[in-house]
Amino acid sequence: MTNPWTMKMEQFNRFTDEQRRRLDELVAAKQEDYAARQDILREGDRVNECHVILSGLAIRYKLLPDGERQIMAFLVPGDLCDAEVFILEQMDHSVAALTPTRCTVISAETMKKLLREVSCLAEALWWQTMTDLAVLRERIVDHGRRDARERLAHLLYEMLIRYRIVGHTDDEKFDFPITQEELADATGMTPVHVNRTLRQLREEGLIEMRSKTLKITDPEGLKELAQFNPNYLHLIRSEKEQGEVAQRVADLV
Amino acid sequence: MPRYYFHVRDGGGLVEDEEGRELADADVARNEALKGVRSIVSEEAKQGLVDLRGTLEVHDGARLVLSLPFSDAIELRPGDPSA
Repeated sequence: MTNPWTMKMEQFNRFTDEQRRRLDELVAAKQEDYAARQDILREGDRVNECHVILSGLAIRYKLLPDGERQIMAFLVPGDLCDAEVFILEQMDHSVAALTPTRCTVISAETMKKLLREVSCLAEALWWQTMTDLAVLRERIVDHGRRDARERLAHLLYEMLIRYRIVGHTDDEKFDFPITQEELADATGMTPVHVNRTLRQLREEGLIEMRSKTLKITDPEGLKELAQFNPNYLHLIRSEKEQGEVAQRVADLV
Repeated sequence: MPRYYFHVRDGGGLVEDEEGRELADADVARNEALKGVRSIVSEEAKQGLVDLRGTLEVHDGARLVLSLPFSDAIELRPGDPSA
């Protein structure tokens, strides 16, 4: 099976067999496992390695002095934790595993070499960074303009699409290990409020949540409530192209 | 650390907290309960209808630790039209 990083980047650029093989080798070369709740990168760390999530789930977060936490992003398989490693002296935020998570670890030097030699990979990585920023922009819209129900609905629908991209869904059903506390820290709500809002979504027949599995029972309804426009995930490009990747992505949204 | 469960009882019935949260002690749990109710109330205020008839019940798995009526979580100063 294609590794999730290649899968994600191939939404943007189709790689040759040789390039795919090179990526596969790179992904296989050095891997590290992190336990649930273990930090992958800490604010202040000097980093000279890139981490790409292969399996599991991680968060990008900041801790405030009073102990409050803001989650800026959920990182799913195929996501790069630290694209800024080339530019920044040290991490200005932290990344932690939420569930047992496996990363591939690539030294900054290897990554730079790869980007110099394979320009379509550099483009794909740039594209990936841009779409990550677009996801972050949605969080700003959340906090500025969406009410609690819309915010939660938007996040759940977005996770459905992002898991579909890397083939981690079974129809509208997917593993959802995110706790109410983590949802609260990502949406600026409280766990009590999240719990009550999730009940509303359940009662409206939009979702079902059972033993860490989320099923979107009414995708159109949830999409409408969230006023979800998938343009920010920039999937459109691959629709223009033919072949296996285009087919996989075509039905995503 | 003990695990506390925050169940909401309101007009729609009981919303059970199946996950619970590990917190240092009952004081921290009480503070989290206050924050929880206030975030519900503030969202309702934005929509224009605040329903204070609910109660947040905090259990520690063995017993009820706190029963917090929504109305106890906020101080209301009703306007006086004659003032």
